[in-house]
Amino acid sequence: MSSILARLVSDLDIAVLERTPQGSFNMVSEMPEWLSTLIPETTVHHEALFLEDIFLFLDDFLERHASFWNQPTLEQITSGVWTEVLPDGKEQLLQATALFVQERPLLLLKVPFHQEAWPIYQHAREQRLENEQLVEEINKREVLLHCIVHDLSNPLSGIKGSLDLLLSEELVEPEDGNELVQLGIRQATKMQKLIRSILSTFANEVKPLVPTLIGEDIAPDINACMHEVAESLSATASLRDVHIKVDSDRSKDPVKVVGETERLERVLFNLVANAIRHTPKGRKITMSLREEGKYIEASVEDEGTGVPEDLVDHLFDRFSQGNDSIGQAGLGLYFCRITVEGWGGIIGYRPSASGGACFWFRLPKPIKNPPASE
Amino acid sequence: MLGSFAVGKTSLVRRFVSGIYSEDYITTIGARVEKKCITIEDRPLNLLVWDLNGEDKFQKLNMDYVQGSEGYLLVIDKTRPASLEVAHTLHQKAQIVLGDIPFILVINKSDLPDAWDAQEKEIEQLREQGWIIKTTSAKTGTGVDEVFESLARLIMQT
Repeated sequence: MSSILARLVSDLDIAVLERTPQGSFNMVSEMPEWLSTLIPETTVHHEALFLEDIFLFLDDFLERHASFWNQPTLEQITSGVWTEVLPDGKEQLLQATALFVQERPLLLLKVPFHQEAWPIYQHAREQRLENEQLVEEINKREVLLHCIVHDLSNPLSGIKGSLDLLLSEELVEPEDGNELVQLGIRQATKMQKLIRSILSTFANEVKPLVPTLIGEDIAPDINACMHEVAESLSATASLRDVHIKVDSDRSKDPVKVVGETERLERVLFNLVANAIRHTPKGRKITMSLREEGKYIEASVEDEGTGVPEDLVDHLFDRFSQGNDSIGQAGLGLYFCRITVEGWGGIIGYRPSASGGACFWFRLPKPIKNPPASE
Repeated sequence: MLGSFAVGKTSLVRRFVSGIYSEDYITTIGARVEKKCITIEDRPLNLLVWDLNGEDKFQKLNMDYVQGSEGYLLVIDKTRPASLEVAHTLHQKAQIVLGDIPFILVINKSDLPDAWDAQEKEIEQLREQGWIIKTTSAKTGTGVDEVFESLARLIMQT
């Protein structure tokens, strides 16, 4: 080999061996360090090496391609990558290529690029394993939580039923018992709502997504939903001296979006109920609609103090709670997100011009003539 | 040795060939080839074991490696249901290249607690279809020699 070529081969850590008619190999390049540790010390001048005795992998490769050496060819054959354990315990990746150069049968042994990529493969698989374990753990906890919530639900119904009975049958003296019984009923009702909220969230996750190709005829009217929610929460808002305003007229033409009426109302209900909790007395909450190309954007804007910056990124995460959310499960906004996303929409938060909070979501408009389902 | 990544293929081979076990997970790239002499029914046999990289999205299995095999162990991890799906895929690929040759489904990591009752039914169905299924623990050594020897016996019978 020319000195330049020899230098290149050496720098690339490649061993070049020439095959003899007897099937052994003679080293024609400098011996790479990794190879010298594997060659028996008894071998003189690195000649007549029987590689299949040194590398079990090559035993198969050379045997399978024995006919390759019969006739010089421009073709070459490259093996897969294999691992050799060096005497110091270090693992070395190798790859072999059989070829003819000027009709001389050569075998190249080289360190493939995988050697450098090894830590990346290792890290990627470790991360993947960790991820699988986490997912498994989360699944187990969710099933457990679901079971617990179900188990809580039944006795709670019993407690509430008993309290209702006490009240309706006048089994307690009004002056000392009624108020306490009513308190118990209120608390039990609140807890039932919380349980329903948790169950609904889980159920929603496992439900297949509503197809986004729903037609205009069955799509909900988001304007009507807004008015419905404003009405149902008006009493709660009044108690806090908060006014709910819907920007659009109830009698206007329906504003159809992809979704389903009951859950769409729950999304709006959660956003408005949230706003009521964060709006100071005497202020208002505004619900608006506007068209955004193929989407309809709904927003709920309050005149509170807005969401602290450090909470914004996690507002729609599961069990995410604000600083003053005592008694809240942190599932309301999460429910909103997965529901809206399930319908092909997007939900978000921005500070309002008044300094309060503005929660918005966009839902696709339904198509006019959906294709008939098969 | 065919199976998803991190199901314990290399650990099983090390336990079988060298009698050692390490908790450390070192991913395999390409193939490792090991040899062990065993005696089956008074006949000495040289078992060449090809420990192949697990298939995942980072690395596909080079089917060149399986050519010439006379039998294979399909290894799954008892704690990872997804490893059974990978085993199915690899089994189909192996059948295309090798035809119907002996194989054993190895449920490794038997020392760990059960994590996937849901798959028990599927395993049972495979057993009913005639699959040979054995459990092992490379960590404790339970069932390891037996599974390699069973495969060797199956190979000798064919």
